[in-house]
Amino acid sequence: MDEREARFTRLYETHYRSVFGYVALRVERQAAEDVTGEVFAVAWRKVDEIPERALPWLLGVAKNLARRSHGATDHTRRLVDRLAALTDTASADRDAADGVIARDQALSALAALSAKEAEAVTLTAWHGLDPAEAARVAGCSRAAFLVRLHRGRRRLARTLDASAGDRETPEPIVRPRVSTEKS
Amino acid sequence: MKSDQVNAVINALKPAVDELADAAYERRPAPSVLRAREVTASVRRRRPVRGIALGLGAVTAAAAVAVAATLPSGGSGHHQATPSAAIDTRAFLLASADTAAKQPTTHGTCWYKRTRMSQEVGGPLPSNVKPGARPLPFRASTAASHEDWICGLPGTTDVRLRSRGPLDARATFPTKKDEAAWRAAGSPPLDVNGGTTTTKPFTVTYDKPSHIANPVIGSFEIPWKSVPNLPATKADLNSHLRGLWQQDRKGGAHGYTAPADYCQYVFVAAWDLFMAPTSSGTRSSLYRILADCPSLRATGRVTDSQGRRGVALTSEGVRLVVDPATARLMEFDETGGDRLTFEKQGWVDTIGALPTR
Repeated sequence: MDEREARFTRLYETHYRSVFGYVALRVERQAAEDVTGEVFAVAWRKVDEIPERALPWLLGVAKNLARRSHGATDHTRRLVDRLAALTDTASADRDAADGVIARDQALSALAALSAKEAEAVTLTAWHGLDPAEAARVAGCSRAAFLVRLHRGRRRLARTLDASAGDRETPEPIVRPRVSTEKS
Repeated sequence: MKSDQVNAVINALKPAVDELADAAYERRPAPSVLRAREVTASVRRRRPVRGIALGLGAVTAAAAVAVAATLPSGGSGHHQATPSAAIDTRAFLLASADTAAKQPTTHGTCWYKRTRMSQEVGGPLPSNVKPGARPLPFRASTAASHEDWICGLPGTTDVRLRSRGPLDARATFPTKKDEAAWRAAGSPPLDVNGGTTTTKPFTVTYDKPSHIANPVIGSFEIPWKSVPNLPATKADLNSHLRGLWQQDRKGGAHGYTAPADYCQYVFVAAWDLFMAPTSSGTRSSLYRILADCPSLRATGRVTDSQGRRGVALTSEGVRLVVDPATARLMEFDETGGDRLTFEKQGWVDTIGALPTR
């Protein structure tokens, strides 16, 4: 195995899961493995151009391929819908009620975000990208990305507060709650 | 809600995705298979940065909208630009500055806003997604409104927030075929901001530190109670914004570093400042600063989701729709993404009250 092949294999083994996790939220589940494979096929052709910090580069390729693979007819399907479908499937075999409740709460909160806000939140929280890297993947400026991230997190916090405040027995964390009323 | 709690909620979803990734990893082809694979098409290139196209020179408000044959292309599809009017960006911004300056500066105890978020959805609700089921083959556009009151609390930096929604949730379908597919699927409820198309409106009121409502300039939060007191002349506001920009250029909070382009920094800050209860002087000054920014373009007359006519300002992948009559922000639209329409906003004296104008 030459040096290029060795580097490619390292990238493949190290980043396959991350790339798949990113792709799976953007294409039909049945296509996710194919698109992930295509990302690494591109990576092999361009292995000499891939920067040391390879994940942002790989996710950028994944974003473009997912968009192309998925076609214009379905590009608007929301990340949260996909996440719900994927996590429903994944949790079907598990017997962890607490985990399912936490997942449902998280999904409900994430659904309040715009698709781009949700992308910003998950890119930083799940893939560990810094703002400049995540902005390149998201296809926007760093400033725009940070605003998107800030808004997303703020909206998420607010939604979680609101849903906690709507419970009959509020969590202590949301106090002081002034009132809750159904209209 | 603290930052680490938000992280915990986001991270609650990660294990399920990781499980799928682990399973896919086990099935992954050998690296040699991928090395041998022909890539069928090149990766789509990123769109180039928009060119700069501006009318120059101070002109009257009446001349801001000039007759021309075509408009710049590149709309999101949300808005239909009128193909007969090209906008002189600088002239429009200066005219908006004059208009904003003439608006009365009002005060009240609570800032009220009614906003409507429109979004595209392509499938059923999470609860309807059965394990292994394929997504349903229809597309829809949904929208719902929320009313929010933000009231400063005396003697503290906290605010009392009240939110009511989702209100008037609606779904529309791009084609009759999509609607038929949705009906065939059992007419499932669809996502809207804060719920679904069948969620009953609910009201929540709570007190929180004001950072949840504070507008942002770069990495700096502007305390809610000081928003109406932001500088109200172009020179003062410009000096204030440049000061923040220079600090952010050296590196601000949370790893943020401001862009080298001051105009880009100001435009992003303007999103929040136009949405917040800034004074008419601040809004006017902001328009004057933006008028000096060549990267900002007025891309045409558009109709917002409420059918109101406005002018679109575009930069940074974002479109702001401005009401020429009041210089107020009508709509915030991430190109190709969701859009937030400002149906009504203004000061009121009590939480739950509606502005009279």
